[in-house]
Amino acid sequence: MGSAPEQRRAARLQRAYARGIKRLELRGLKGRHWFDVDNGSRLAHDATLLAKLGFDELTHEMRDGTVAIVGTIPLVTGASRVTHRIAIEIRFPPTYPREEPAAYDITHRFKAHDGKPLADRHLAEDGCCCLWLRSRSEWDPRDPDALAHFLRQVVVFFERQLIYDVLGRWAGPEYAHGNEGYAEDVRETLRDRNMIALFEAILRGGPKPPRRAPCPCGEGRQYVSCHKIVFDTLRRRLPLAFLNAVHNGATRLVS
Amino acid sequence: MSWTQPKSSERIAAHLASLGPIEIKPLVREADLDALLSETVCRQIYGAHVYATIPNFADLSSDTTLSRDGYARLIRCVHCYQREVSRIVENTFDGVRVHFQGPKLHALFYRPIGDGPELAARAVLLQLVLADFMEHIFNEAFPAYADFELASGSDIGDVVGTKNGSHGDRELLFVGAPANYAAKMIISGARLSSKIFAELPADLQDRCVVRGDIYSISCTQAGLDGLLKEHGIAWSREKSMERVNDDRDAVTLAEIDYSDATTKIKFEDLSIRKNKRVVAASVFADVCGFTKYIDEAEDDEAREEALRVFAALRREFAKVVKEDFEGVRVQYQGDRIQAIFHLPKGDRQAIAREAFDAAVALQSSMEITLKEHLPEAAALGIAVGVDLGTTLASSLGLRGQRDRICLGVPVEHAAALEDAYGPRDIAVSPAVYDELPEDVQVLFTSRKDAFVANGLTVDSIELAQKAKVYDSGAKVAVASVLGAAVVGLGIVAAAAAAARAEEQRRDKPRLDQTFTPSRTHGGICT
Ligand SMILES: [Zn+2]
Repeated sequence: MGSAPEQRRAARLQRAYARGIKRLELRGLKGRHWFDVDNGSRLAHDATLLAKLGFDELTHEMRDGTVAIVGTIPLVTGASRVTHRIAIEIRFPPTYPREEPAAYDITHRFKAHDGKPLADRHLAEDGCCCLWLRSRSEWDPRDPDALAHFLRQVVVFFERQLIYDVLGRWAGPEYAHGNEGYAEDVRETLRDRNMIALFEAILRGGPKPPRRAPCPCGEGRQYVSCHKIVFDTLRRRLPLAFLNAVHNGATRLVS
Repeated sequence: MSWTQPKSSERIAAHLASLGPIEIKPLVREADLDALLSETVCRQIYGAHVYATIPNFADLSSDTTLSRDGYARLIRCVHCYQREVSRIVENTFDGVRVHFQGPKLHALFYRPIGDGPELAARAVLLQLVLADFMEHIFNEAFPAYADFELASGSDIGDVVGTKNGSHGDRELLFVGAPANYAAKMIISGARLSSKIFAELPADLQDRCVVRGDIYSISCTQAGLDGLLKEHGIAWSREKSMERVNDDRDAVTLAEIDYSDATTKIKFEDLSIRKNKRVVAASVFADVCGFTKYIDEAEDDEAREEALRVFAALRREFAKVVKEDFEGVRVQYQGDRIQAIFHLPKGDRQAIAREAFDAAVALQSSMEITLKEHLPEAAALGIAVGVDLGTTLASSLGLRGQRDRICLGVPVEHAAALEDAYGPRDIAVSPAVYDELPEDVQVLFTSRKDAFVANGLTVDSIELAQKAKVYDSGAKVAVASVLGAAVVGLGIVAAAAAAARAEEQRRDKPRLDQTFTPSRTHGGICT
């Protein structure tokens, strides 16, 4: 599997991994990180993926007792072949790959523009890139190549940052900032105005429809096997802070 | 043809590698500057600079209502003016005729070496003689242009003299405050800087009046004759008149031909008898603050570094104009380059677009590739001015030292725009702006007399166009964005890339698979 350079790269990584594990053992941390619960096999797989996709300037490195991907992504803008090298760090949660990694504009290359907040370009103050709404994450924990799709989205995210530098606006579809973005998600998911109002009323502590009664949506099924499922799914994927904001009326769902 | 980063970068690297060390020494003895100076042999020259021009030339050159003879008469007039003015500068005053920028003369007095009062006196006397020449000789020889007036400016001090290195059309170049300031103070009459006033002998100082820190001087014919005699300058009105009449009568109006151009103008083929009148975009690019950059260089090493930057950008700018685009380099004027774009014939939109693309490419060479090779240029930036309209192109003056000239309102206006705006600006006239596509127009802001875009490089245009793809919600592939996969494919690298592509076809995921760019969210990030 894989070309000779990729194999060498994976071998080098295994050695780095072994050195890292050694250090973790010495510090009594072994067994608590995603990259040492499977003897480094996911790590090696991800490293091979980087090479295969042509991310030649990215490598896995031990950082502060954990593994991160660091380096640069070279972006060419078109026929002029002007190349922008974007420094990046990808950090992994302890729960990786069940939960998604996060990409950082580590050098804070992209700055607030024209008096607009940094969030207008989908960057947090610490450089974290908001690739998508958390409730609409494109991270697929079951896909062994999930990192590939994540990186593709990072690449186009950075290209859109370069466009922002030129035009002063974000290119392509975006959700509204903060909780309003999640409200958009709810509206788009439920679509029907009455169902949105009902969901909001329930979140605000109002009465729930009886489980066995026909669902208020009028589709004809019982509530328990119709919109209760939709509502429950939504509640699971929406962040707690947002649900609280709806509960206390700070964020409205019916516009 | 277009600008690419790898091509521009290679060009600059190759030129720098061939350039060799630069020396700048003070000029201590008289020399033929044409023979002495080169791209790497530079001299610090103390001297008096004079600029003189006839403002009316531009308007007349762009007047498309002129009859054939009317136009021929104008060309002959410019020709005769340049010839006799050149003779006055060189033969009567022993000055250096640096060149004509269109109708504008640049002359330098540097010998006797270091003799401030003498150099200042000659410069100011030249200004007076040129004014007298215009009023009493030229206007009489060309009654059709009796309203022509001469405006001039002068300054004195140190400049660095160098020479453009390309074969064929070698030009003397002077950079430094006096070479700039003298040109900028021209409005009307003969104007002087306070520095040159301070150097003047008393008899000339007595004739000056001051307003602000600009002096002006004028005198009667009798007064001028007295001054010339006093300062040992032998100028005869009669002989000057004779030469002008001879020059005029040597060429009949019927012999003066002008036509449109279907192929790139070659200035070396043009002459008084063979001129071009074209719809052209004039482009001027100037390194903002370069004069200050050289003047304030702390030591010889810093000044040599500055001259190295100057040589590199001069060469690169000419290559951008000529090789990356369908342009013609007209002139280097100190730290400024002048170019015209006139193809395809008469197609205003295509010409404007070509000139604008070249302007953006000039900015790209400055901001991206030149600074990549010469980080010491980081603080420098260029301003570019562009205008479009009827322009007369010719090669006029005395045999052996003809100047490439472009005359017309758009030429003057493009130069004025370049002068009015700052580092990283591209300033275009409304005529140019109107011909640009909408997705480029949005990159400009409207100012009082122009449309200005700051910080535009070739990649900005590409990115602005890419925005449409994202806005449409279309699928994209990373292969077109990720540099490593597509940049710099030599033959060997291409084979390796093909092998990799083959491998990627067998295993997923692949770079060329299209996908929908994510719908982003600005806000909570954990
Ligand atoms: Zn329902």
